[in-house]
Amino acid sequence: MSEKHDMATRRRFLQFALFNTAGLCVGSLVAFGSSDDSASPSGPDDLSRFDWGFIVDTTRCIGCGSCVRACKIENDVPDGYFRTWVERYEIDEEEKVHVDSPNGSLESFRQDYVRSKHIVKAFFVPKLCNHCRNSACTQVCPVGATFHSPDGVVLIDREHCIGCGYCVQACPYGCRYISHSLGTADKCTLCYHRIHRRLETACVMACPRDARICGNLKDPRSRIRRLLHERRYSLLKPELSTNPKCYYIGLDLEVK
Amino acid sequence: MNDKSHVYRVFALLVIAIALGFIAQRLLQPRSFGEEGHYRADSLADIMDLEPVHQGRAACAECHPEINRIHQKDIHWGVQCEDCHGPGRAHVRYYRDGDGGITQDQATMPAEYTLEGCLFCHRKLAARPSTFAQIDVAEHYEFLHVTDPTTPCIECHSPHEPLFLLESVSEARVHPVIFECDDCHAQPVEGDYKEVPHHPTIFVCGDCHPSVTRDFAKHEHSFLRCTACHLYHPENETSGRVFQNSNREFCMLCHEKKPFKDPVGVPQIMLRPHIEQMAPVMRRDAGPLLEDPTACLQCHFDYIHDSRLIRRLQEQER
Repeated sequence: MSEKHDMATRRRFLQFALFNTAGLCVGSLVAFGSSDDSASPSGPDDLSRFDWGFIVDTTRCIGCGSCVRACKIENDVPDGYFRTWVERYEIDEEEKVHVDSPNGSLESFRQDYVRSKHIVKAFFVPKLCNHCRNSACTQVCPVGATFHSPDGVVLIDREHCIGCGYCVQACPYGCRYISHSLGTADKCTLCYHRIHRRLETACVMACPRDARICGNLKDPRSRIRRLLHERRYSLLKPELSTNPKCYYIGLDLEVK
Repeated sequence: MNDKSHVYRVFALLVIAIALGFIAQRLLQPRSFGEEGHYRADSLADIMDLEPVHQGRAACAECHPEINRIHQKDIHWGVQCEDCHGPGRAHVRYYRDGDGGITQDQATMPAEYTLEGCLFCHRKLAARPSTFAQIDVAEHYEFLHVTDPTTPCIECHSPHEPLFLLESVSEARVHPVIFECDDCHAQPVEGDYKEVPHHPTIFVCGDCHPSVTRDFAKHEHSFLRCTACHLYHPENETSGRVFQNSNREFCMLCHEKKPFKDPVGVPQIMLRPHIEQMAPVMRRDAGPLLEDPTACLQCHFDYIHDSRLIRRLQEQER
């Protein structure tokens, strides 16, 4: 009798487990089914025709900081934070590498950093968000507030961001910051409001040396594509497989 | 029957939980979330709708065509108006669009560069490409006998055409690269580079223009490099452009009398009185000379090069 009862409880338990699993499956289908990643943009501009990329020609940069100043004003970037900045690398006769970027080079550089030793090599490297195809920052966002736009720009939804700072920690290039006035994360938008009006980004426009080029990687006739065919370029931290879309011409091995 | 009731209860709870989850998703998930991906589709429009602050030089040229025309000829054409003057949104809104919400004060262009502004680009730094024009202010002012170290560059260099190029950049002649030892060597070097094995050839002006450089060495300005007047503008690693500057304003950069300059040193004049005074002596008419952009060279050519030699060369070129 007791064996029969055991059999019955086991059957009921199995039934219960089966129905429960089925219920959970149906439930999750309903709950998450609507937010599948079917990026099929068809806005007025048809954003899918674009894939924005960026070239930094380090051989042309003179470290004047025009890009930093223009970006700061255009995007109302708070003091002490930067969406783009210029780093200076100086290598002295003992092969020691000195890197600095005083106040992001907002007011350029006032003097050589290494003055007591002979500098054997020195150059500037402007930095900005790499708009990676496999970005770490968008993957860690717990609320889906940072994302890839259909035209390949990594953006932040200011209304939706909760300012937790995961993305700031995740970005291997240090391109994000928490804006304390907005209470959200913030970063380079590739001047999304400008490029959609067919204007150049503020930093590209401000650069007096044509060291920055922004363009559509999907357009085979674009200047950015032509330059990528003509020049030899590199990426920042390629070993991380973030697949950045910011290409550096003349990048030195010392630059990380 | 009775022993199945808890199963119904569980199912009822499950259905309620799913329904609650569904309602919570509808209520808590922002509108348009997930329409185009795992984000709020409307945020794209939010970001796109931000208003550009920098207006671009086309907007500046609408009201300032003359300055734009001058600037266009200059080597600084790549420097945007707003790089030096600050962003133009309020200015354009007030003056062009007649926006009543902006005061004249707000519409004033926010920045106007002085010495430091020019030095953002032109201060001598080890990290700057050696082919880019760089100034050690102390050295430059010592050379020019400028006594006040805070004198802004625009006292001598016109901010819109600082280099007085007489041709448009696109029409200028392409010229081979000229290197000096200190373009590459930070420390002074001794001896002839030709004795150093595998040293690249250094092109100097005299390689192609020996008669001119020999002749120049005999004249007053022989302490200057050719490139002090004949601007060498490197385009890339292998070619460059040379401009001839016979503009009188170029001569006046060194020779104009200014209150901030040490009167002892380079001969200094005031242009108009000098022409008016000296024209009769040189048996010339002062009127056309005052208008002539190459006025200085009309009389002083022989102090720079032998004019007969230059004329002969010009004839050969023709």
